[in-house]
Amino acid sequence: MEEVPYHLLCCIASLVIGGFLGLTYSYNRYLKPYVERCIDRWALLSAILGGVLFSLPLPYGINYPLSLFLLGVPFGMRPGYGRIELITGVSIAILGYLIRGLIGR
Amino acid sequence: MELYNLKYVMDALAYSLYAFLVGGLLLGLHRKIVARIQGRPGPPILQYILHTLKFYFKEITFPITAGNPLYLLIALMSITVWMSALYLGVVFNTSLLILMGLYVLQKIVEHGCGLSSGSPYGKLGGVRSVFSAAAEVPLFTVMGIIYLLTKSLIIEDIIRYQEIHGPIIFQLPFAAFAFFVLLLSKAPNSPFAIVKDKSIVSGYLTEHFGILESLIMIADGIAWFVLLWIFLAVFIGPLVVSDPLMTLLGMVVLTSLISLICALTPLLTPNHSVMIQILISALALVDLLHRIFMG
Repeated sequence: MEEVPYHLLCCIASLVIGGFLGLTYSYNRYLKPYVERCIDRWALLSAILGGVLFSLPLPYGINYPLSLFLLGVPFGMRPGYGRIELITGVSIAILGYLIRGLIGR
Repeated sequence: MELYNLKYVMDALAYSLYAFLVGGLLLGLHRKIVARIQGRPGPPILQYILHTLKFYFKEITFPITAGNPLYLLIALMSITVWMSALYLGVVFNTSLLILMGLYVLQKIVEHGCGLSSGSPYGKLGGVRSVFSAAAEVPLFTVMGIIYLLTKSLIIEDIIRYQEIHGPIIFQLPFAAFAFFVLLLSKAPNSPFAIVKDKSIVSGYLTEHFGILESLIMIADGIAWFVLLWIFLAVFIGPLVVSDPLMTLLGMVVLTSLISLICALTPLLTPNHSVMIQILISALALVDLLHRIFMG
């Protein structure tokens, strides 16, 4: 019997809730339907925090849902917005994960 | 004892939520990839889940042409079918035959959904869902081929077989291809998606809206999760399904591949779609007979 992956469920639910917030925020903040190369400072801050949190060893692995919640904000933003922010956040997360793996060895 | 029962109920609900969220995100990713390939921005990846929630809270009325109680119950039947498939297939790893039976029930859902609405578009979608049963014919032969190799149709046994002999996809590439075509036929905007062709508005779903459409969308999200999981479990095995994170990765890769095909191929006419699927069934049958007679 397959066990319920509760930890993954928390992570995905956090990503979706973060995405809802990002979408609501971007619809309230911006009126133009599709704009590229526009950096939102709050989304960027959220993405950077999410990226950093991803590789911080917090108890009960709570860093992953928190990180995905914060990364979810630029991820869920309306089309065109939040791309650079999301790429920055994910890059920081991957870099942090690799560095943590190297230090762990 | 009662606490244990409560835990089982919680686990079942949690797994359903997990399957819906993953399936919904993957269907959103599918739409996004198709849009990007076609040079459009596309909706956010969360759009499928947002739509489901939006419809859930919308007001519901019954069309004057609707045939109740089928019109109402068919949405509940859809969600029952796919939640049963989730528990029997993904959670308990039971027989592929039961899953095939549930898949056949899905055809009844699609047909009933279209006919109960009374709309001509819904009816046409319902009739096309009967044609599209051709997509399930290769499934019979694929199961025969898998049985010849593994001597079992229980998913747990098939996974155990792959632990020893490696992924079945390398031993039965044509069976994997035939099953992949079945996956493709379930994907939105696929060349075989004749039941939801835009020329008949939304096919069998045309007259189902509000909470009923939301329930069908939840069922479709779970269906996508279950079908991808079965493909990964039956053809790639423990290499992917033993770790939930690897399973997710496998699902993302499969969805991306299917999206690429959907974006680059036109929708076939119903007769061409059926002809191609019957051709694949015939080839799979030849493969099965070859294995039976040649050992």
